[in-house]
Parts: sequence; structure tokens; C-alpha cells
Amino acid sequence: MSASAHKPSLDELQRADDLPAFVLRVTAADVHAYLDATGESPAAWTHDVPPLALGAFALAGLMERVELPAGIVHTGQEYDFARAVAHDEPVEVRIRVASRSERRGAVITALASEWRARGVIVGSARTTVLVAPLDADTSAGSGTDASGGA
Amino acid sequence: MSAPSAATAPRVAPVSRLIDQPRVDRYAAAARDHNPIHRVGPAAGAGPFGRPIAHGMLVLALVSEAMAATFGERWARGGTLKVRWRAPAVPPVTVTARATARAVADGVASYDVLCETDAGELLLTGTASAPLA
Repeated sequence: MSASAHKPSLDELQRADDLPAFVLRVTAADVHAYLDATGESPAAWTHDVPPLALGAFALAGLMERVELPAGIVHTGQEYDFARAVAHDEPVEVRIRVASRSERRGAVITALASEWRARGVIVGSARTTVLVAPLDADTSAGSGTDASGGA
Repeated sequence: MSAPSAATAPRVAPVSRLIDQPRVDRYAAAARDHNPIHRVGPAAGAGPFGRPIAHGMLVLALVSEAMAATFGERWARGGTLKVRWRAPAVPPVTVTARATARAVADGVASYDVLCETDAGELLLTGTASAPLA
């Protein structure tokens, strides 16, 4: 998977903007490494991708395609898992800016993702991030992942 | 207040795990999230916490693990998850994910979920659900 040449910044994105779709193909080795890191037993995932791993890889794809500002805070995450995805199964990820609002200088953006395999929806996600004003203290309050989306 | 049908929801066992810096580093590599806020270095040191924090998705993975342990493949073909992060996990820290049954309706069991530290600090809260069959 490779990001397109132009990498827009989160600031440039407006409501209803679509990011270029991309295809994820999560291998058995990817799943093994993910489970080794999280500590979850691999026994249940010898054939399928853990659904949250798919979410993590979709987020990584998003981060490859959008320039995220310093100080970004990942405040919320939603998932609907519709069916299991097998190792190596191609999944198309489409991401749209679902909303964008400003509150006391902080910009809150929600990104809606849809995952499709063989044309059928296998999952969806909604990622909410907050970019606080530069002088704001993000160390308390409404969630502080500050991971740039993951 | 729990709905009366909550008693019929399968029990979801808590999942606890030490999240230390080596685990965070492994997660960064595995999940391809190399944000410097998660690594030992000047960027994390200059951040609001003065040291690296764990990926929020690594903390959330404990909730997914707990639900998968109870619901198996049903978690992957009908599970839902909706959370907000409340505070960062600063390694090394032992984190526990818990799910408390809320209701069973239309063949779906729903739960309030949270992750907390050993000191009782809430890291995330939200809801999860999965089909019973």
C-alpha cells in the first residue's frame, strides 16, 4: 500500500471531503506481530484478522495519507464489525470527513471509514480527533491519546 | 441502572496487562504508528506528559480481546465498539479492561466498557456489543 504523492494536512480537509481509497491486505505475519504487541493469544486468529487490528491498520493507512499536526489528540473511536476478514484478504478502505467543528479554538474532526471486501461492507469506523490551540494544555480533560490517530 | 435482561448477557472476563515501553515499541512497529509521542526521545519529553505515552489503540485492544474471548468469531462479525479516551496510559502501567452487562435485546448483548490502571485511573470508557448467536 502506498500513499499518494499529495499528502493533505488535516487542516485542509473539509466536511464531506473524501480521501483516496486504498487497499489493505493484512498478512498472517502482520497479525502475529500485532498480537505479539497487544499480548492477545493468537489461537483465535489463525485464519482471520482480529477486527481491531484491521482498525489499527486502517488508521495507519489514514496517517500515511494525511499530515497530522503536532498536538493532535485522538479523543474517540467507534467500530462496527460486520464480518471477519481472512488473512491476506484485500479490503478497500474509504475515508470521508464526516464532520468538522470548532470550539474555543479547538478543531474537532470526525473521519468516517468504510471497509469493503469483494464489494461488501465488512466494517466501518468513526475516528474523532481534536487539535487544540497551540497554547492549550491537552494533558487533562477530554481524552489524551495524542497518538495522531492510533 | 442495569436493564432486567442484563442478567442473561454472557459474562465478559476482565483482561489485565502490563503496558511497558517495550510493548509500546512493538505495537508502534506492528501497527505502523511511529508517532514520536510514543517513543523515548525529545518529542515525547517535550510533550504535555514529559514522557512517552502508550497508543490509545493499544489500550483499546484489551477491550477487544475481552470481547473476543467471550464471543469468539461473533465479535468479528457483529461486534460494535464506541469509546472515548479519558487519560493517557503512561508506561509502565498495568491496565485492566472491564465490561459490565447493560442489556440483551434483539439477540445482541451490550456492555459498558472501561479501561483503568491499577491505581483506579480511568483511561477510556464506552460501550460494546456483540450478537449472541
